[in-house]
Amino acid sequence: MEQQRGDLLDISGLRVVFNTYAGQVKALNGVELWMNHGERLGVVGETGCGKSVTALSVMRLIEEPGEITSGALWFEGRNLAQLSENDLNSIRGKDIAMIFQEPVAALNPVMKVGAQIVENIECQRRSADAGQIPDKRAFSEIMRDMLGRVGLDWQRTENLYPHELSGGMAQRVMIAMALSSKPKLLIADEPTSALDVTIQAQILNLLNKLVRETQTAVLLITHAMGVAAQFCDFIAVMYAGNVVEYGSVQSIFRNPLHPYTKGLLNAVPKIGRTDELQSIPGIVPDLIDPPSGCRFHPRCPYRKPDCDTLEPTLRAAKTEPAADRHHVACFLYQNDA
Amino acid sequence: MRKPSSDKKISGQSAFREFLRERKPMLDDVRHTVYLWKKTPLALVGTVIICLFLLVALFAPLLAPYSPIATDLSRKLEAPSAAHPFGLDQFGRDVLSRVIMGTRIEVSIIVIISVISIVIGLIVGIVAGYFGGIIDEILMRITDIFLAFPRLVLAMAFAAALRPTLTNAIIAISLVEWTVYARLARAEAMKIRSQPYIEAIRAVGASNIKIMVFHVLPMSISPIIVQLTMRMGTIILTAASLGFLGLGAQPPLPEWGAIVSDGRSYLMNNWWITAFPGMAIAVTVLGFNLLGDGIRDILDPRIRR
Amino acid sequence: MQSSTSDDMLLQVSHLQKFFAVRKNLYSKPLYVKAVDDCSFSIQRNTVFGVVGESGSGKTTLGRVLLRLIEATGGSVLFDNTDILSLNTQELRLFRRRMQIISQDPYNSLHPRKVVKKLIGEGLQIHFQLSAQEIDTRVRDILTLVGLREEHMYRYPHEFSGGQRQRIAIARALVLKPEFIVLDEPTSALDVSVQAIILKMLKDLKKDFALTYMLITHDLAVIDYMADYVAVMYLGQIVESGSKDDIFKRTAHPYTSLLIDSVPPPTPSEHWSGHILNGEIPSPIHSPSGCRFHPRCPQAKEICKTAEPEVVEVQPGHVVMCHFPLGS
Repeated sequence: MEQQRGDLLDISGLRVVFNTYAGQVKALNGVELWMNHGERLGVVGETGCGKSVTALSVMRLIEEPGEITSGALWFEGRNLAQLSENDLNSIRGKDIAMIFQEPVAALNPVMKVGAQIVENIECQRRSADAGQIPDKRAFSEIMRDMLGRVGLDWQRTENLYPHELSGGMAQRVMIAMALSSKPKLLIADEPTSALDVTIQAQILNLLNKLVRETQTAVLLITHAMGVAAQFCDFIAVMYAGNVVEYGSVQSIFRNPLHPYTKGLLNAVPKIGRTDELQSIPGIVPDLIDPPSGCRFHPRCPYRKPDCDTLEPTLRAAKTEPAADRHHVACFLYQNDA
Repeated sequence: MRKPSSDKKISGQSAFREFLRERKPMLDDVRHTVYLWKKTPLALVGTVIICLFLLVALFAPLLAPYSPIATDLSRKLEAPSAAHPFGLDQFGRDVLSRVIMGTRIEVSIIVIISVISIVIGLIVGIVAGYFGGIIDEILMRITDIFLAFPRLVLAMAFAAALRPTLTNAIIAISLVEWTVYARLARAEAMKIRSQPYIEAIRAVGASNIKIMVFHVLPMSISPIIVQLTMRMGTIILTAASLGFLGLGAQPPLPEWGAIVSDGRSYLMNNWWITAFPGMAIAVTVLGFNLLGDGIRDILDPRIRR
Repeated sequence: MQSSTSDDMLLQVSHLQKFFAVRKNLYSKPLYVKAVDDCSFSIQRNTVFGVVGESGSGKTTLGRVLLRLIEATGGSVLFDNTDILSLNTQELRLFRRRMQIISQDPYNSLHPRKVVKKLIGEGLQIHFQLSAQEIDTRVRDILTLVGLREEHMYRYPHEFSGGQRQRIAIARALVLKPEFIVLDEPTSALDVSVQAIILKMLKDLKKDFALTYMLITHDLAVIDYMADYVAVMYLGQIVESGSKDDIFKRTAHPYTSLLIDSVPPPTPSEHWSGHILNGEIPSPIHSPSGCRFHPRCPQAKEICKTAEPEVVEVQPGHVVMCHFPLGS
């Protein structure tokens, strides 16, 4: 195995398939992604591009009929793809925590919020220092501290049931729960997509503040370009199971290289934008029978003769400083290929 | 928007092709259903049992080796033999023939009760669920009153007041049975009423009757069908219980419950009179229940694409 | 722009109210959710009137009350100078053809057991006396118009993608040749690239068929792209309305200003998220006294807690419901 590209997470060649009635869905087709400690990486793309599957793969939460067929998931030097269920449990929730789009659905409906956070902390401690008698009072202290840090009044909140929380409050509770174990990586799967813009702004601000304090890295899955642009340091653009472009937020938004990224950015409405929206012709391919070669080639306005036979790989774009890590999977920028 | 449609002569063949094309989605749906059916083995077992049951009922006069009511007192209580596989009863009647002819009675009981109770139940339930409010309140309280009658007691009262006949038993069972479908249809109609596609069709300008008949009814039919198949077993059981108690079908009608009742005094020494019709009841009820479970699984939208 | 005569106005809404009664139990006194509370506005022909607000602001109810899909509690809605709210069922059915709705959820707004031809043809059957042949032709034509193909006629909704379903919904509305269409979050369930196609198509259709839209959405960027006039709703009230430039460039209500600031712009910037609107939209059952926005308003003064602000016209056509409008 080559040197790990990011010192926290390095996903290479990740392939995931789902076996369904209609056939095998090739959901991920060799995903490449990496990030360092404390960085925020945004994974953007449209429905069905594989961004949520990527997140679930990192947690190794791909279940039947899905399957990781190949690829490596390096996390601090350990390959998550090859760990046993037991070893994974010591990482899940502890080193890697996750928050979801529907926070209320992710909470136990018949348990008070405070008790759930305490239980969560207890689980993580038990696997960390096995054998010691758990100190419930200390856990309650942590729970109250965490609720305070996510901007909730613990006296009011700890005795509420999940259905008594508004969407914004529930997401705050989820964040408190996720960050109580001081994870190294927080995976946020569309954390604000179900919320109103004003609440979204609150949650993003809160996350921003908390992860800066704790130096937690964030893998943010989102379809909202605005959220990714404001929150992330690096962006990975996914299309039909591939990362087609990767780089710093500045390089992706100011100098998009891949034709799909360009198309996507031209389709986003923006306040004050006066020109017409541009759409990408064609439709997202069926991943049971994906296009050969570059999966974007049937819709690509810059298609070259070889694009329907050869699969491009994610390679460094030569024009930019290395710190931007600008990579693109497109033959337009790989003349030697 | 002004593109004239191509004039084509509609010959018989192309009309047929057009007919097929219009129904292609429906055919695909049927094909998918068959596929799911094959994947549910218990439903298949249920289907086989019920098909056999229906076939036997259809060809009963051909299948029954003897007349179900012809008596031969000289050979009464004869044990099962090659000539009489299910033996003879206390009047020397062939039990096999009685059981076979009994299927016709069971089928007619099921069909009549199902039709009556579904028609009443659907009308009451859909109207109540679709309109809601005060209409719903009134219709549902009426339903509750009928639901409150224990069906066996009601049947006994009927038998006592009128005469204990099969017809009265059917009326008594139907009077309670429709409430099941009314409640189910109401719940479905309430759920469907608030669906965006119903609002969409209201916005287009459809009338309430049209919405209920063409939009709400077809969508609420699948849980009704499941319930119907599950209830069929219960209907047979109830009818048989009434027959057994002497409140339903009267001898010499070969209704299964009545046959079981006939043989109960001879149970110790002549088990075959009770055992074979009893088994027929058990197997048929099981068949309906398996089929009902299977249909529920197959119609479950979560496992349909 | 607002000096136009009432003949230019397709829709004139005044003091429209919709209250929902909520009872804790059968015997308690009902509490009222004021979903739409005293809303007045006019929509000019061939324009797009945008309504923006957070969830719970009453914007969806407003659209439904206008079309009488929900009965109003009070007020009047003049559509082409006829009061829609006073029509009986028969008369209303004639008006249904002229005012259509395209709703948010392309997954549920189409009857799942009907093929596309039936879905689109149903309205034609109700409103026009047409032969089967003629219905067939019109459905074919309208499908081509919204970018679908003839062979889609005999397919079920589940065989289509979200964008295609929304095209079917548009075709269903358009085939009746309406004058007014309520677009209720028409693209919020769609991906951005599909949203771009649908929004552009809606714009083109408006031009080609002289349509008037009321666009209900939570997405300010979509409003900015589509709308000519904008109304901002908060807890059942229109707190600010005016031309698009009035709203975005000469913002007068503090809520509008904070709403615009909370949208993350899709370009990396250093200074976003300076202004955060605190708190959440309160339950409409217990609306705050005085100005309903005062508990979240950074400029709130004593008077805001007690007195409900008047509707003031800060500029011709630009009205705001605030004691201390910005920039005055």
